[in-house]
Amino acid sequence: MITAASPPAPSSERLLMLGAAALGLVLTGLAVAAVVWSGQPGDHTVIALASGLAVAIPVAVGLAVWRAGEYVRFGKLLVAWGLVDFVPVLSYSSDPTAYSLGRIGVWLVQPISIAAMLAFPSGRLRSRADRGIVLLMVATVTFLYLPTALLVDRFPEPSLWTTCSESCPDNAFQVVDPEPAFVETWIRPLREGLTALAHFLVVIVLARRLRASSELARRLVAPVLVVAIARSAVMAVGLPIRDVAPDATYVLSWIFVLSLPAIALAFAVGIVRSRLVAGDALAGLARRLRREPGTGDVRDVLAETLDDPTLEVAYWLPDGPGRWIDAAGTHVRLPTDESRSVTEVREDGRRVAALVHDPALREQGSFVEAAGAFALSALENQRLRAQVDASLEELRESRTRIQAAADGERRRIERDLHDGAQQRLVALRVRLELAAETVRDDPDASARVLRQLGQETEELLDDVRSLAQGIYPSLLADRGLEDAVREIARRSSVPTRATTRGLGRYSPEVETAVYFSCLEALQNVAKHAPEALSVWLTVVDDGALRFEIADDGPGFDPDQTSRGSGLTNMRDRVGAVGGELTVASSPGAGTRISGVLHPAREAAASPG
Amino acid sequence: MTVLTVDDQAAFRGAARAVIEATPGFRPVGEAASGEEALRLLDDVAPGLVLLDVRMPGLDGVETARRIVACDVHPVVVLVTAEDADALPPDVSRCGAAAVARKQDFGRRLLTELWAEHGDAGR
Repeated sequence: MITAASPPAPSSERLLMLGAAALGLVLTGLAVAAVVWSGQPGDHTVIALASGLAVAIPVAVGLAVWRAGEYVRFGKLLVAWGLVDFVPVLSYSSDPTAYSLGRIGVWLVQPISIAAMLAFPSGRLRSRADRGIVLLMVATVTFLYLPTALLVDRFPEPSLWTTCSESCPDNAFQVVDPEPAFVETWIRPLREGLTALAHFLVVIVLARRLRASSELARRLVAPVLVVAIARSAVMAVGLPIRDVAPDATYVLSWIFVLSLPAIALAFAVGIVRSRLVAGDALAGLARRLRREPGTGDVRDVLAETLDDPTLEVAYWLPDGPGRWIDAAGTHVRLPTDESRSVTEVREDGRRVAALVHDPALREQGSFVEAAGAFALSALENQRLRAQVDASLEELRESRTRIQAAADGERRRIERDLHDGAQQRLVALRVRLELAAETVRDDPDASARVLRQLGQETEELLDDVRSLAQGIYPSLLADRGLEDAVREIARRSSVPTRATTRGLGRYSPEVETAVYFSCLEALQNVAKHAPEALSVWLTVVDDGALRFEIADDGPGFDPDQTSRGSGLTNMRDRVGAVGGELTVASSPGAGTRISGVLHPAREAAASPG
Repeated sequence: MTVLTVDDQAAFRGAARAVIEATPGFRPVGEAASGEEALRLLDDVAPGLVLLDVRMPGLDGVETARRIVACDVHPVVVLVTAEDADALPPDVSRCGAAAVARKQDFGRRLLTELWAEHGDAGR
């Protein structure tokens, strides 16, 4: 499969881009025209130029970013902001309707600009604080600004957007005459206070974001954040002071009008800067990996390249369903919460590793991917090493479990011997001595006692025999697997049909592994699926020694349910003789446990 | 003399009862399957002699012996065991038991001798 660096945008998306570009061109022209033919006295060249750029630059940068395929959402936001930014330009007009529309447009720009600044650079409002601030601004505009367009006879002056000051036209949309007093005494101070507050909060949020970003991320975001912070600071102080210092308003208005094209340009600069840094970092990474291949941990090199000391690397272990391991071969879980980000490194669609990194790097997704791709062969080497470590670890664990199981078995035998045979032998000894002492006084009674002791000796023999059977079944030792597994099928409490074919004699290790796995599986059926109607026990040798225990019981989910130590025991036993055990089950579909071994056949033992 | 037998193994309790019944001057007054049960029975049956198995789950013979002899008036305690002497816990000799006897040696003669040596006459 060939993956292009940036997938071509679908045709509808391209159409949208073309439309936005055309609209941007038209609105830029209209903005310039609106200022030039505003009907206001004086020279408009500078203001006309600024108004045109306020639309053209954000739309152009936004489209370029959108088309490049990275930061698409923020690019679209920039385009939208630039297009909407045309409306306030109308407030230069001396025509009351155009002027009034322009003044209302200023209000509409506020929520869009705040949302765009907070959503930089992902294009998403990620935190609750971001969404809260935008909501505050939307509510303020909806309830405290827009309705007043029907009430007031003049818009507040001086404004950050006009130069008309004293000679501004009246509000063309007023329907209530005269203007109600509460608008000026209550609503205006309230809404300006809230707007200043929203911008003040934006300053705080963006300043924090700037401080928290990594060195690399800062190269991208710093220019934009600095401009956005300055713009919001101007808004936060500009509104409250405009009544007391009209001269300051003139300076602030220039900063305000030019801030959007400035943000767009800063974004372009940030992208170029971060590309340069990323390019340097990748070149450095390639140099280091070539100079010191296979030495040290590739994680350290990557952490340095990505400038993320918290970087962790997980490697893919493709056994069975597959799982992630760390460099030491220990099983790890990839984080799924927001506190960490994961970038997978693949080769031809095959998982190799996962880079677990600071979410701040999420905005440099393609850089992280590129770093992963550069380090691919080093990661693959490390992955193979981790895989070996993981199987060694597995081996150690299974060896420990087998040892523990053997120790437990020895303890059980000791307890059985002590509590059973030994105690009965002691009692027998005491009673025999007593019988010997009393035989002369009462021969008949003594004979009765002795016969009773004979009976007890018989029971004792049974005890010892069953104990020995549990340690190593005599049928298995004498006759081999075929007879031994048929015998456990016959004794099983759930009706079991046994099939055996082509079986010979094998080493005791192989025979006990198969025998006890079958026994354990049948005991599991009796314990966990006593409602099973049939059980099939199959042991065949068709070049490989295979066994299978299948039941039609209720089944279970092997990923969710732990069936105690039974399955682990079986797996360990079979694994210890080089075989493999498979468990297939799902709720409602019964359980099938199968194993395959590749033992050497032993010469058939002569029947004895 | 009255005897209480304490052992978690029914086989030895039965054998001990047969020996006690067959020994002139001795009479079984109770059997307990654990140290805890023995301590509960003690006041009711007031035995003169307690045969106490060393190895029992829960309260073992050594600890049970310690608690029995902590009373002002207490019976003679004889620990019995099927283990070799070197497999016994080291504090069997310091727990207040009058003697330690091997279970397989237990019989009419041993019972009489133990009583002669450690019973009322021996004290």
